Amino acid sequence: MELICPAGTPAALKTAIDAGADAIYCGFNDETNARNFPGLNFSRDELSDAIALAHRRGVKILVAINTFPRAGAVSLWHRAVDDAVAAKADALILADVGLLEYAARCHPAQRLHVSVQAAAANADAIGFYAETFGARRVVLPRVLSVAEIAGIVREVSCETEVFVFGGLCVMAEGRCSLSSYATGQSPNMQGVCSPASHVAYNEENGRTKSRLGGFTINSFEIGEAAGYPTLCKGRFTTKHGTGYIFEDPVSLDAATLLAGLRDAGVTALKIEGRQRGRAYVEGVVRHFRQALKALDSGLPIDAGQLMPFTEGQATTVGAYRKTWR
Amino acid sequence: MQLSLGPVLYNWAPERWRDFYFRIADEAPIDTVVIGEIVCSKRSPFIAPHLPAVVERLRAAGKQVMLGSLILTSLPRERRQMAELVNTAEFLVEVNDLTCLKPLVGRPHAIGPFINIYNEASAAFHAQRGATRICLPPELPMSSIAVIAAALPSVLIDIFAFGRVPLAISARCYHARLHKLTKDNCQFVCDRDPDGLMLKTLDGADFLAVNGV
Repeated sequence: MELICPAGTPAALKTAIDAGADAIYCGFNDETNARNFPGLNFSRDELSDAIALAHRRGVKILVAINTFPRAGAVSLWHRAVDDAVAAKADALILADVGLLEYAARCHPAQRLHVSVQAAAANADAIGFYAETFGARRVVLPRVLSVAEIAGIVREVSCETEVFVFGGLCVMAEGRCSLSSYATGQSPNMQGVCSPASHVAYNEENGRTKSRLGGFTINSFEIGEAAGYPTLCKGRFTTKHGTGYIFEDPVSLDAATLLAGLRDAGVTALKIEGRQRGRAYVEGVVRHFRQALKALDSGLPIDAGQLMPFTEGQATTVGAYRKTWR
Repeated sequence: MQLSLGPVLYNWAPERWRDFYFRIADEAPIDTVVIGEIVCSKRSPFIAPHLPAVVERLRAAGKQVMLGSLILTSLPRERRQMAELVNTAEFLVEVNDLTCLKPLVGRPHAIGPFINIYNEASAAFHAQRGATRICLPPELPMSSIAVIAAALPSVLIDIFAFGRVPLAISARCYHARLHKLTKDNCQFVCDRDPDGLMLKTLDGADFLAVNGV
């Protein structure tokens, strides 16, 4: 299985190469990709240099252009596609059907991957993307169990890529407007979720409250580590009490499921976190490279090594084990 | 401009669901009514026995009836349900997931608000394949609505005008999770909150309504 690693900066990209990435995904420094954070991502020149470096080291570069183009400004996304092709990207990761059609028509030789943001969650939807645009790979939404993934692999003609580590959307990706509702900015449009520009931490009555767009998302004892107020990982109140209604502040870690994913026929394993620093990239990529080596040798996989890199120092296997069902 | 009524998104008692649409047929000045269970496939069997009567009553009142497809389709059972839905040739299907699209290409159909149409190119893509109506996602700004509507004068563009905004869909059921049940054995506890489960912030401010998945 290929190991697909995140890079938000040229420095992180070099780190990922050294740590054992087979391929690295990254994006341009604008609203065309779903990690559009200040100070992150690649200029045109940086991307060309990064691709040249990666190719010298035998590593592939996948360029994510996976937000949904703004009406009236579609040419900005077209230019991103053209520039990524010109820079010799090994694949483009796209979500919008209009943009997929443009890329397939104007660059028929370019390898296209269907972004997780396209929410292709079953063989019919995946088949639609593969047949209509010649997409060669689909990044599966984090809503499927390993058994369901195996069923999909048996049925579809394209490759599959699954997330194995990092931030976990508990809502179907590409179909969530929670951030939009609280802040006016969304993953689909601006490429951001729960953006830092709309986050505030205030001390009130002996507690630290974290807010997003004015809504209180969590509350902590003074001195307790105050987690980032990602909307779906907040604490809220219903008539049944107060708690983490949607998901605890946890990260995905599917290291213990690698054998199952391999047996399911998955082509590529993806690590989330283009917004994370070099220490994260170094630690997580190296761990998964070692885990894949152990898997190939039939050795047990060390689990739980990555706690320092997780949200809330806790992990979940998400939908992969059928506990959500 | 015409008025459309989106589908009931909550788990109502089947008779209440039926009577609601009977009243819409008899009393509401609405042009188009979208019906069907689009949120959770497990609820579909409850309304199924009442669908024919509801459709007949709405049509007799001069309403156009559309059938909405499931928003999130992942199980084989759900794929079969969707295949049956698109074969119901007498209705315009409102497609909420691309799962249903292939057999509908070349046939008139509607694109629902859960398909990501953010620009004129993706709207044109669907129009070329037979979409005669497109309901735009509720997070779309007015400036984008104007560009898309102007680019596709022959397509009927629906936008959200009133009511709760559907914000997210998940593989996980939050009603089941709150009641410490599994999704497969959920006991349909979402029927205890026919207007959704009110969710407040820790400061007591109204925030969201939870509706199963």
